[in-house]
Amino acid sequence: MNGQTGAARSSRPGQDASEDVQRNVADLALLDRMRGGDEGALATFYDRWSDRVYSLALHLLREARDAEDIVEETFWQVWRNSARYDAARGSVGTWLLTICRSRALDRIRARRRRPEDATLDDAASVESPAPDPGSEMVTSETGRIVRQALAELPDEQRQALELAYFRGLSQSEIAEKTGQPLGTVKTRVRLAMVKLREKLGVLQEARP
Amino acid sequence: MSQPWTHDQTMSELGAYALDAVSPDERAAIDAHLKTCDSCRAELKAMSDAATALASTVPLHPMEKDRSVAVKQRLLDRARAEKRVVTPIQSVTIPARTRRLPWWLAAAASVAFAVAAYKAIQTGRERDALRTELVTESIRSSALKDSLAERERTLLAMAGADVKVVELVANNRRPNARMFWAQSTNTWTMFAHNIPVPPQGRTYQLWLITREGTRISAGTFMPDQSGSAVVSAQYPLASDALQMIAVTEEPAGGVPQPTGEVLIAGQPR
Repeated sequence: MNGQTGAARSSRPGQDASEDVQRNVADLALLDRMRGGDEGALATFYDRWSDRVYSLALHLLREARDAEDIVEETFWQVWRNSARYDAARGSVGTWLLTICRSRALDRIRARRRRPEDATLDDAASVESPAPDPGSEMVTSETGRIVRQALAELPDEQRQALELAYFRGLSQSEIAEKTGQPLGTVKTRVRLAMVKLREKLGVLQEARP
Repeated sequence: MSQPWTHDQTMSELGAYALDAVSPDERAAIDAHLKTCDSCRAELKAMSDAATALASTVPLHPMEKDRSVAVKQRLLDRARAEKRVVTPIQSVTIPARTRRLPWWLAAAASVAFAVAAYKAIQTGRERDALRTELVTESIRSSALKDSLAERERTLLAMAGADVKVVELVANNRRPNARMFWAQSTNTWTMFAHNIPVPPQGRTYQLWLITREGTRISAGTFMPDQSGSAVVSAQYPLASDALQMIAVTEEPAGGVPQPTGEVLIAGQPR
């Protein structure tokens, strides 16, 4: 795929922060061109990010065709709403992946509403994103730190986090799924998120 | 929402909020507190970054090359097609404060329904005469400020000689709608009734489906309190190209292709 960038490739620790910044500058320029109706910018942006978006969609949905639909919907939303991007709320990549996750979770929830389809029981089989800091699949410094943070969490906190993020379950649904009191689930989610935020805070401070 | 949440209450739930894992009531309480608390907003930004960072742990699994190329091509085709539409889409939701159709529009709609039925058995000349009478009567009796041109356009969109009418129905017969497709002006005007309020964060989206299977979004809309809505759009389509019109429930803001349940649908006769 043309122009597959650092957003979706292995990287060397130490280079990532500046690469992230450069990548975002390039993405911002593409968004600007899209706002002007430049389809070439959409094509280039797709080439830069489609593998990462597809990977997330596939991880969430586990169906290749559904994941492809979500990829198309995600990039279409970027094309239609490029003027609405707010840099104060995060990088272009963050915005893009948030759209992707939101769309994918909408589809998962729609499946749940259909009785013939998946139930909450499907959420029991959440696959951890393999928290192995040495894995070749680690795709960025952020990914490495998050994996490390997840690996350090108690199992029940990691499970609560993954059920919420990757399966789109509410805390009540997690309590129902795991058979734990809602208060316990809330505590687990809170502690896990605080730990994750602290780890990422270290990463942010290390950036120029 | 009962009691406003305290700062500590809100702070303890911001991680779950960032994961979109709170209940609607909790979300409303947190939203209310966020409006007045800078430190909670800053904390939410950090929590949101942390939540999004979880995506970076997902192993890379590229799409098959030919399929990725196909998705990209569809996107570019759609982007180009969108540029060709002169007036892409205009959705109209009845303003909350009125909650009802403007009287002249409601009257025009009712009369236009009669005109549509009339059309099946009358000649074009008789219909034109009726339309002229309708417009004349509407103009004469109007005490409102709505422009004559706007009323004329609306009536033409529903009662013109080239108007095709499509009925949209649901299995349980409650929600229903009529679409008036004025082919000479590429104008689509739909009047929907008995439409239930969609869940929070959801909306309704109107689709024109061609015989080739292309699904064209004609905009999103929400019903008013009485369950009614009017949606208008302009889109050029060959007279024999329409296969079906459908309304689906979708995420707020709409989607490029339908994903949700079909609420109502109908085919041209």
